[in-house]
Formats: sequence, structure tokens, C-alpha cells
Amino acid sequence: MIVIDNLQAEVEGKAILKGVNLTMNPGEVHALMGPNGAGKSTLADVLAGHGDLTVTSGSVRYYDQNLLDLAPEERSHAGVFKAFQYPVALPGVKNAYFLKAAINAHRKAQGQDPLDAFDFIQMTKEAMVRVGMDESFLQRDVNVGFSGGEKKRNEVLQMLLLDPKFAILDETDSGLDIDALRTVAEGVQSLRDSKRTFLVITHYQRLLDTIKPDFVHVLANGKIVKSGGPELALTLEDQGYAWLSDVEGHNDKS
Amino acid sequence: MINLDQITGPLLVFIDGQFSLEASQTECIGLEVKADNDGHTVVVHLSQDVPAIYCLHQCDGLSPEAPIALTVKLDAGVSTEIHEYVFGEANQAYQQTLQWRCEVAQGSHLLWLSHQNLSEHVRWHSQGEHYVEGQLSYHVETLGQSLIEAEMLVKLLAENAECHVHGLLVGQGQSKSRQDWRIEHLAPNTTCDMHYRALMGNNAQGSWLGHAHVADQAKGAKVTQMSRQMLFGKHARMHAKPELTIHCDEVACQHGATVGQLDEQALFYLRSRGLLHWQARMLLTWSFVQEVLVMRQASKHCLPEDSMLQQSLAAVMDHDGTSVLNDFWQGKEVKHDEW
Repeated sequence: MIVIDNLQAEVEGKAILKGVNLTMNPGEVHALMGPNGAGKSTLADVLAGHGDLTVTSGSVRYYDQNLLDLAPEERSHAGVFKAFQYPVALPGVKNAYFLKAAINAHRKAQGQDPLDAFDFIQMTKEAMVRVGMDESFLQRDVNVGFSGGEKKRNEVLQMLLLDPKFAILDETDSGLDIDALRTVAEGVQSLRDSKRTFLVITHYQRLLDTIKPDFVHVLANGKIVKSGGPELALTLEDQGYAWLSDVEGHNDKS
Repeated sequence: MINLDQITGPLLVFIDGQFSLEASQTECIGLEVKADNDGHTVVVHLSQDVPAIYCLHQCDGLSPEAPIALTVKLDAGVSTEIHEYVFGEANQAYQQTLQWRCEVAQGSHLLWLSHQNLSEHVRWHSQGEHYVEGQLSYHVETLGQSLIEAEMLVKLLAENAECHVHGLLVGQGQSKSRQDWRIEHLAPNTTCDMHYRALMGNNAQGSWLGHAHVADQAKGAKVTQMSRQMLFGKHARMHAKPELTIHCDEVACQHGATVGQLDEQALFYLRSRGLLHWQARMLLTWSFVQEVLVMRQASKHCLPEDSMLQQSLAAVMDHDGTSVLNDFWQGKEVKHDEW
């Protein structure tokens, strides 16, 4: 279980998150929507452990651990995975090496033997088929020269290989054409099970057509101002965020 | 350190600035070596291909009285590689100058790879002057804590002549390095590219000056100059300056220089995938130097002294991460024990 309690965070002295409360159970898919600048990506970064952000108040309980006490790699080893909105290019680092290093870092943290080359290739090829990636991407530098869609597929590929307990998808649908969106969504959907939790950050209903969320939340001005079922996403798609202006906190400019 | 037993080709050995015929292996078809009586002047003339020639400079005794003058001439259509190792652990002040000259005829290709790893007592000064009608590729790797000064002039004399110069400096301790490269385009459609990378730790200081001169008759010249440096030490300093002088139209020239530190976003990205902080730093550092290692990695005749570079990088990074670097070296199989 992940319990976010009154989480407040700032960037360079500017408050971005102003008291986020959210509880997510294993097996649940939570969609997080909201206008630009609401703090959605900041929340994702705080959960993943980005050093540029300062948590000023609140806590994040991750099963039996205080998530905020953990370094980014420790969070990763514990099963937290963030699919980046803007995946970083790593010139000179082959995708195959990067993936293998990441997998074996996890295995070592879990006291397992490293994966040998044969098993790695087999496992990776299978995952690549699931996200519609050509094997040639293994020999390319990580995200260098990748299109927007290829970068997002590569993020989902990493998620499939690292098999997280808590996956945060930060606008994974942005920059994808219709076919790529379906492939990526199906890849995510295939990971759904009773032990895994998803937090899906998106602006659009279209991703949620395939990844059907259990809960939809609206983050505005650093707080969750509305929560509901999948129908909330449809309402937002239809009416935008203006109708939420009367909801408590949305217009809180303090 | 270099293991001489691994050398199977021709070998030129200079001990404290003097050519040692006894320690060298010069019996090779097509390799002509002339040395003067005091051993300070050596000429190598190749009239046919030789896969690789090894050249060792050992600097750990008394400073030589005169500079070494080393000339390499390649006849038309000849190719070879020269693997130069400059090393020494002099424990007292030691100073040496190398004057080297290459003459590369049309249709010939000289790949020169220089590995320099010297103690802090050594001052190594090289002056290169090269006349190129074919192709000259030069890779220089500077490790250790010495004072290195290098001046190199390359003249591209014939149409389509090429010069590729790649340098890597790993500055440690109080080391000082000065690299001045000047490439003159004196014929049409000539090409040069200069790529320099520096990793500066501790109090290391360095400067790189890359100058490309395109003469008025060098129409169609292509020039690339790129220098990137990273500072790890609090007091490390690096000065980089690419310069272009262009005297004709219809040329393609690009240049740039950057000085910075490891990308925090990239570090976070790697850590978010489970790599430990030092592993992520080492990985990014290794990827940073990759571009200037392509020549070395393309050669099949490099001696397996990779650990020297790895150890130097690890020292600059202030972490024994050599096992991580092993994983990257020339695509070798990943060693798992550190993961």
C-alpha cells in the first residue's frame, strides 16, 4: 500500500505541492489528471526521489518503508518505477548494456544471481515484441536519435523488464500516434495484476480507454481537488477543468 | 603497465631519450630504421604495409641531453599503425623533448596512437610537424600527473587529404597539460576533425587550443573542432579554445567547446533504474570519453593496457569503479560480480 499524506514540496523555494493526500492499494490503477502546472510531474518526481525537489512537509508510506528516506536507486530496488515524460538521452551508452545493468542492479539488490547474456537477450526480445520495438534498438545509444514514440516505448520496455510493484507513468501517452499508443497501453495493461499499483499521469482519456483506471483524481494548484471513478475522466475530456473552479482548493492562490 | 612479451611486431625502444637498438625489434620486411650514433635521431621509412609498429619511451632515469628526433615516412599506398607508449616513474625531475615528423604520401594511411602515462616528476614536451597527402589519424591519451606540453602542426598538402585528431586527457593531482593543435588546409577538398575530451580531477590544469587554417586554395575543406571537458576537482581548471581561420568560400566548418560537470538529469535517470550513484557517475563518465576512443577501439593491435585508463578515470572519480568500466571496454562481456 502507498499512502501519501499531506505531501508538500517546493522547487527553488516555490511551493508546487501543497498538501497531496492519496492512498493506493495493490492491484489498483489510479489516473492523475489536471491542468498544466498543477504539479503532476512534480509529484511523480518526488515519488521517484528527484534531488531538485525539496519536501517541506508530509510523508509517503510505501508498504513498510518511508519512501522519502530512500535514495532513488533504493526506491527502484524496492519496486518503484517512473516512466519519464522526457526520457534522458545517454550518448555512448548502448541500450542493451543499460538494460542489462539495470536488471542486474535489481537482481543484486534482491540477492539474486545476475542474469547471463542468453537469458537477458531472450527476456529482452520477448519484451520488445510486446512494445513493438525492433531488436536494433538494443545496439543504439539510449534514447539518442529516438523519436518521441520510440522513447516512450523504451520506457515501457524498461518497465516490463524491471517488473515494478509501483509504476508511475508520467504522460507516457504524449507524442504517440494511435498505433503506438495502443501498443504501449497494451504493454502496460499486460502488467496489471493484483500486486501491482499504477499511477498514470495523463491529459487525455484516450490512454485510459485501454488502461482502464479504478480511480481518477484531479490535481490542481498542488492539491487533489476531485476524485472519482473512470467516468470522471470522461467528464474532464468533455468539459475540461473549468467546471472544477468551484471545487475547494482549485482556485486557492495562496 | 606495458607487457613487452605481448608485442609481436616491430618495436622501437627509447630509454631516457636514446634509441636502444638492443631492446628494439627492427627486423621486418619493408621497415627501414636509421639511427644516428648518439641515438637521438631515428628515421622509419615504410615502402610497404606493416600492420603495426610499437614505440616505447621509457622515462625514469636521467634527463636526456638532446631531444629525440623521430621521423616516419610512408610511401604512396602504404598503411600502418604506430602504437606509442610513453611511460615512466622518474622519482626526480626529468625533462624530455620529442620532435616527431610524419610524411604521409598519397593513398597512404598512418594511424598513430599515443598513450602517455608519466609520474609527476616528468616534463614531456612533444613537437610534431606532419606533411599529409593521404590520411593521418592521431589518437593521444594523456594520463598520470606529469607536465605535458604538445604542439602539433599538420599540413594537408594534396586534394582529399585527411587528418583526424582525437585526444583524451585525464588530469590528476597537480598535473598540467597543454595541447596546441594546428591544422592547415592547403589543398582543395581536404578534411580535418579534432575531438578533445578532458576529465580534470584534484588540482589538475589543462589547456587545449585547436586551430584550423583554411587557405584560399582549399575550396571544399571540411573542418570539425569539438572540445568537451568535465571538471571533477574543486580546484581543477581547463581552458579550451577552438579557432578557425578561413580564407576561401565554399567550406564546411563547425566548432564548439564546453566545460561542465556530469548531467544531473542523466544521473537521476540511471539511479531511478537501480544503478548506484557511483555506478551511474562512472557510466556517464565512460560514455563521455567514448567518442575519442573510436580509433583505439577500431585497432586490432592495441596492447591490453586498458586498466591504466580505467584506473585513471576511477582516480579522478574518486571511486574504485574499474569493474564498471571493464564492462564497457570494447564491448567485452559484462562482468557481473560488481552488480
